[in-house]
Amino acid sequence: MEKYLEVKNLRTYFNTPEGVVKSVDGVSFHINRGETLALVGESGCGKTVTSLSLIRLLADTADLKYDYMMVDGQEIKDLTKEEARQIRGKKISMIFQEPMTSLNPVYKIEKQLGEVFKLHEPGLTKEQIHEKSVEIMKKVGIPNPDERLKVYPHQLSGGLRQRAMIAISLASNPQMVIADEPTTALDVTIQAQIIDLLKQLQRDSNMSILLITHDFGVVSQIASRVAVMYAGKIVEEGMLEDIFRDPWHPYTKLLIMSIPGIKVTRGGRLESIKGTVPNPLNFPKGCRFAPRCPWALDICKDVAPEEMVVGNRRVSCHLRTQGKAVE
Amino acid sequence: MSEMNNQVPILRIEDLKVYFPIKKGLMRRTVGHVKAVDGVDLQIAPGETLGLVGESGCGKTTIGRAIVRLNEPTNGRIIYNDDIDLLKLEGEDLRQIRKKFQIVFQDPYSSLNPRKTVKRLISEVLMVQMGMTQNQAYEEVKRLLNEVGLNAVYAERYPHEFSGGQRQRIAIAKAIALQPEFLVCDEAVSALDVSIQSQIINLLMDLKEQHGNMTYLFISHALNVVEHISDRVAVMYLGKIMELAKTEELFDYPAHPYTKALLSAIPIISGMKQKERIVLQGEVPSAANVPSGCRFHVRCPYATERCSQEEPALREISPGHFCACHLTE
Repeated sequence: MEKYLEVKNLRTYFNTPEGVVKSVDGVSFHINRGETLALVGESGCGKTVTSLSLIRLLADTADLKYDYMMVDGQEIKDLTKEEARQIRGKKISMIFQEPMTSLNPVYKIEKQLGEVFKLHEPGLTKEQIHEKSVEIMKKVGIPNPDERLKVYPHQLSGGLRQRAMIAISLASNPQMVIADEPTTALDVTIQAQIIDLLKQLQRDSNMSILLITHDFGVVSQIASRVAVMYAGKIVEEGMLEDIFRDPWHPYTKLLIMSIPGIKVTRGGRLESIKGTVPNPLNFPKGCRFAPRCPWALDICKDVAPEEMVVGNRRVSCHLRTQGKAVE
Repeated sequence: MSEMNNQVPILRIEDLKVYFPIKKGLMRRTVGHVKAVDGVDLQIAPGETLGLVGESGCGKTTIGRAIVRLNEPTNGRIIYNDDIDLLKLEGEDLRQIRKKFQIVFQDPYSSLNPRKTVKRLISEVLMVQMGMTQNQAYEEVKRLLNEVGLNAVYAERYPHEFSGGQRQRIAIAKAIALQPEFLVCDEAVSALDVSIQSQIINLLMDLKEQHGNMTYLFISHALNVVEHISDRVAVMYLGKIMELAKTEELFDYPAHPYTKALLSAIPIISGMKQKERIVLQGEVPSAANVPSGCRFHVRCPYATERCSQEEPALREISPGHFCACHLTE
């Protein structure tokens, strides 16, 4: 399989009056063409900042560094604002979490969608833009596209709004989309529709998807590979089935065990992770999960674990490196 | 309901209707109604956890709020212990009964007063309702914080100083301060991360055990959470109950097409068997304009002519399993 995107040792720091917040602190991963990689983790783990870094949708206070980055066969030496603009849209597009806040409330859908065509295909006439808009609205399954183009975002239901959002992000005909919690704000029945839509769009155009989510249920429906993030680092990565069947990192294991309906029987006691996520201003010096890990060894508190690669899996955990099982 | 034959239900909801008027124009004339709850009958046994599920706007929250009298129903009765109609109570009687019925909201950040310390937030309740002195109340606050898994030194802090999970613990401490018999949990864990969510679910289950006979109405759209915590589950759609059964029965043998669709929409984690998958077309119609006949028929893949004309009643199809669908007759 051919890699579409690869990034090595991505670091995104924010300078704040309280100190440097290391939101993303040495993250490496790749996505193949036509593949879905899920980046999973809880609030504040850095998964959204990771995805925003790839297209540099960051505030100016952000300090973005990496050792290597490649998109669509081309190495990106220095992700300047201008270079990021070249990547955004055509190469990597974004589906945001909350269509209500990410669509502009004072413009009709037609205008917001038309803007994308104007930018990416200059020279189109008004009529051509309208035709293309109708076509893409049909493609994402919006009924009566002609009428729906003429409304404001608030006049659409949640599901249709998310479809309109997807239409806008697909209008530039991207080869990869980042979907940041695309279904979180939706009801389960609508969520199922949107997941089906994304899968179908992916089949049709061999698009790569980077799915950002905290919902293992959604992950299992669409992703082929999973990377689990904790406190700014990827702690484990592997194929979906392997991760679910046999999680190697204690955090992944506890996370899966804490969801009702996966491994714990009805009414049984759910696993929970003691304590809270560490302060990003002051991460623990050893393994960042050690203070919450029930299996932590002495070494875990002092030395950050090296990444261990086995076949198509990788994990950063002293227990695993020392061959100790997590039960 | 079969398993409650020899028990007086703690709550018996009869033909509950909550309509919100739609006002338009200069004179604010009422031009229609949003029928948030449109004729619900429900019995809840003491000590049970009843899960109430459905999509946004189906009226599940409105039922919860009607029980604690946060909104005024248009019609119906809510009978407590086969004796008192909660909807008829006023003044001192209402104040007394409110101790027994408490609610935990989804977002503890907006439901806890940001300008009061935890100590004041909870002790006020104790002084007003239980007649405690300030010192007694402060002692009790410490005990309550311990009970919900928080350190007593947190009593001096303000809500914004806590994480989401801790704030929800405070909201729960406040709700159980008056030793209620009945707790409405309205999306109480929905805004939390999964690892924190599991802590709060465990806490709610522990509290139930420790407090003997607390009854929960657990309102949520998260079906896996409801399945985990509930004894029985009611499925709502557009203001009506579509199906009601014991949790195992409902999740293993759903009868109503809507329940089936809802359950099949839960993403299945690998290794588990995928149920028959029904992806519903379209979205929930507006509660201001409820479809004729069965209100689900416009989205139902099995709808017949009869479904568009005649509204099905909630009937018992097997012991303790109720379903409102012509197809199950």
